[in-house]
Amino acid sequence: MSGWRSRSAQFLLALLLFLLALPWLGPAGAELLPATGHGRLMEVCLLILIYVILALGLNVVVGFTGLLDLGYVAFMTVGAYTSVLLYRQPEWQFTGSFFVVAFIAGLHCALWGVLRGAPTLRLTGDYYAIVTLAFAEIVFLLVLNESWLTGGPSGIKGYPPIALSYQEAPARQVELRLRVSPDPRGSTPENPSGLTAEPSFTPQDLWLGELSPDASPGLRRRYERSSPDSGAGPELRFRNWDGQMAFVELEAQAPWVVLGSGVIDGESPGSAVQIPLEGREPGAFLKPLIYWDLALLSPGEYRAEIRLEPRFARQVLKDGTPGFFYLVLLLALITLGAVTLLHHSRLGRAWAAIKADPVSARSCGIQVGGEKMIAFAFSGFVGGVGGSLMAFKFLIVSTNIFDFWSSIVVLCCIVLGGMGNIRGVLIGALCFIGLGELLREPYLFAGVSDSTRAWVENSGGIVKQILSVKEEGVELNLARTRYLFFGLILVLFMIFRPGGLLPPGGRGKPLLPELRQRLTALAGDLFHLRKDPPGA
Amino acid sequence: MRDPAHILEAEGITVQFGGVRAVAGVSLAIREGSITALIGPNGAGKTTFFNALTRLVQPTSGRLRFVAAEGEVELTTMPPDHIARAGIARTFQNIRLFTDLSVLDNVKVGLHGRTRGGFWRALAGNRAEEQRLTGAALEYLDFVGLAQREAEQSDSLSYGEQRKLEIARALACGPRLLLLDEPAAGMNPQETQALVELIRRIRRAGVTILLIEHDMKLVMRISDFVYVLDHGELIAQGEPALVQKDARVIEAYLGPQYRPPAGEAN
Amino acid sequence: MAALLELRQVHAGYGPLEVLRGVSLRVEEGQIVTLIGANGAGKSTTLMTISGLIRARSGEVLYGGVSLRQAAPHQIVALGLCQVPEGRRVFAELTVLENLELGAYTRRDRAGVAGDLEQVCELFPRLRERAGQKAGTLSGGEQQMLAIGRALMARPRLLLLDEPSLGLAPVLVQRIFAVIRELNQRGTTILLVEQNANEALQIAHRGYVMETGRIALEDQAGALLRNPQVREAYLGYE
Repeated sequence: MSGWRSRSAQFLLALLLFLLALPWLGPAGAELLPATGHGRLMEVCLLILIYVILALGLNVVVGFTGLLDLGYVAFMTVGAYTSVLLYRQPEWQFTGSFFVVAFIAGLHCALWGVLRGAPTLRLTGDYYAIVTLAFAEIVFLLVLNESWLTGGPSGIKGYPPIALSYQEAPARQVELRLRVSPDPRGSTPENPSGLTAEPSFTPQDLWLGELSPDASPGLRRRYERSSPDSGAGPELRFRNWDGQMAFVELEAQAPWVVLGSGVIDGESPGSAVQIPLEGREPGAFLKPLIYWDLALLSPGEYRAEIRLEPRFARQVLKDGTPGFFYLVLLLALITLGAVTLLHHSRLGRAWAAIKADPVSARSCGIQVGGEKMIAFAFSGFVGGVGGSLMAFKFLIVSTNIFDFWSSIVVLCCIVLGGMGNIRGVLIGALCFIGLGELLREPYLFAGVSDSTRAWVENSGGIVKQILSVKEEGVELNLARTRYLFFGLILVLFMIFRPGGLLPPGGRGKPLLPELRQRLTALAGDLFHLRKDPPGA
Repeated sequence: MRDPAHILEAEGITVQFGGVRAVAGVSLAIREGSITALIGPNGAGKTTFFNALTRLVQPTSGRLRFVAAEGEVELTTMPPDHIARAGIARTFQNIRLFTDLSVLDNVKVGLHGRTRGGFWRALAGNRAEEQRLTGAALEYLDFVGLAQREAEQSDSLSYGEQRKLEIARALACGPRLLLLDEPAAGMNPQETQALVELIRRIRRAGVTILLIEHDMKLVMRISDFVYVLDHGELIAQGEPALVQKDARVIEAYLGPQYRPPAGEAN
Repeated sequence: MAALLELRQVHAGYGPLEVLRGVSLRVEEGQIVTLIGANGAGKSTTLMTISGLIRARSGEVLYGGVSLRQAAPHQIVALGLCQVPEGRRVFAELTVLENLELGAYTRRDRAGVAGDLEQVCELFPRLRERAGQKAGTLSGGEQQMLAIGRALMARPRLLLLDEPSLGLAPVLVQRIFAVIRELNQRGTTILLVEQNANEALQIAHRGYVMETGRIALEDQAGALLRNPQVREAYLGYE
């Protein structure tokens, strides 16, 4: 990288300071920006930061080592699903921490990166590109079809967001007696079993939401929002479902987390489950702890024991909270630091040598295959971590989010920014993702004439897709045609600035003279096709 | 080794590509500390022989014994990236520098095989080692006469300077045997003279040199011993003054109008 | 009489780099003119500017009195100006015959092409022997002959040769220069760029010495051979 005083470095530094201050500019802090605008700005910056991480990871293979990876989305997918499926699994204590889970997801992807690349080591780069494409497709199809694991096309949602720690509430033992007696009306279509069931709980107060005495004031403030009156804390409830099943249900809303287990006395034909119950958002989450099939019961009394361990999640990090924003910013900075250190190291030089000339690299004693594998592993790891972050930003993972286009978007951030060049990658991610989000926003042209309105109303085709008549004027919404503009921008870049915004080697020519030069060259080429040779 | 003074002994080296025998049963020996030239017409198999030495191609048969630092090794069974560590480095006919890297970094890559430090050391910064590498690389640049140019991009150097850089990079591998493939190609007499001096300096530093070259003046001036290849076979060998009078060599390579350079001392 | 080729104060370069800084030279019809100089002096750039691969920034490039500055390379070839680029760039995957036929790409006269093919094979018997072989399997010297033969297939009036003797065995160097002399005797005008100043000046009529983008010396070839500065710098005589 050439110099810290260059303009692009200063720009990025200013950007960093802005990002550090950003969460405090909104309603939660200094209130300098209106709520919705601030929220959207934070969301866009967050997305840009995630793509910065992904682009830096991909750049190690594409920019440093010179291999074209067309299937980066595979790592994003595997990383996202791995972390979602692992997060807070009760059997394994260590999965309670997001950092551990994301790290494991990263390692998982690093492994796949190596496995995917190993067969291509002796082949030319074209084969590697094809293999990456094929691998991404395999991952996509696996995720789409193995619904038992991945939820299929609808994916997985409703998993808890990242929580840094939990505040314990006292554990509860509840005893349940279920008195089953014959229904006076006997067996009816509405009540096939002809039985009624009546529960009695001991203790009777089933409100589980209590904090320990030494909880912090901030925590108490949040707790007060989930009181018995607000109905937002965890509760046990009994339900008789049409005379067929009797449930004891546990309801909890985030950020409550309850580990519950039930045990049924004797040999009554019912079932008890041991479950971790996470309060999820939006809305409440219900899970049956104990249930009986009434058709199999006979009148009498049944007894069950229920044990509950409620917890209150503190420091939830999700999209919109400053905590999550800083987490992603921190990870982006760590990735940037790691990639920069690698670039300037013996390993980075080996990668650059392999990119420039693998034959003479080998003659200098570089183990081309081994160094490539390290690049594959690292890039896979970062892709996995990036995918995890996306999973916990959107709080849903599905094949709609992780599709082929995602690979191309990350690639574009690298290519349009300036291949191989770290600063270029940063600016590429900023511009490309920023532009993408910008294109989602509707823009209102107020005060347009009636004839313009009429024209818009009567047009079809693309005009109809992007323009619509509103009361205040005409609204331009490019959201549905975003990809059209992406494509257009890519083509323009390839014609006028193939080196990207900051071409590698620090020899980026000034933008405007180069544009002029290319325009004249383009015009010259087109012009020549029709002209007769001089003197002929 | 048949002779303890030899640093390399090739026995019956054959390289066959499909039906074509690029190198056919070549046996030669190189004395340690000497400058040996390998000459012959285009397509005679000289570069292919170099490629066999550095394991870019696999000899179909034959043996290559080399005296590395740790002892005698057999080159034909060695993996290609161990060759540099064993002590053989080379330059290429068409200059193959690492174009995106600076002049200094090109030489540092040459030091790759003699240094350590993989992924984890890289993340730790490894500053002391990097400084040591920079110092060593600068010495090599100074040795070939490219001092003060370390920060430039390697492809902004002139042709002659690029050749020097390639030699510096090869020297950075710390070789006992240096293979130079047409180092004087495209050079005018002044540049060729500078090259002669550089090669002599390299020999004085203790490196044995084997070079392919078409510039007969250079070959005469600098070589201790000459091997002549034609159609993959050795057709002549000996001291330069004798070889250039050999009838077969004249017919196949030098041409009837070749006049030996007058009064050239070795 | 107007020269066949004339450059007047030509400036040209790559991107921000200016390589030619006001080059002027003349090539009379029927002559061999050689351009010698150190590496990086701009000799190849001069040839590329003449054949249209690089656009001149200012100055004039006149061929038979017509300006070549706005012409595209393929148009320049059609005018009878052919370049054999440095490094014997043959089409490695095509056969020798296909390479030669491609040389005549801009020509429409079938009979003439066939006749020229015969002549080229006569000039370079090795090419006839290897007509069906892929060009990439030829040795360096044979590839050089093929590159020149291919250029000849365009029936050029003016042939630009960029370092034809580069990397060739001494016996082949003599052969190539003999061929160049023969071509000239058959009527082709030749502009020859060469590192091997000795041989080049021996067959040329006139010569230019180029240094850092400018013409430093211009004279009859014989005079340059005897010029003490030239001898020291380029001919290797001290």
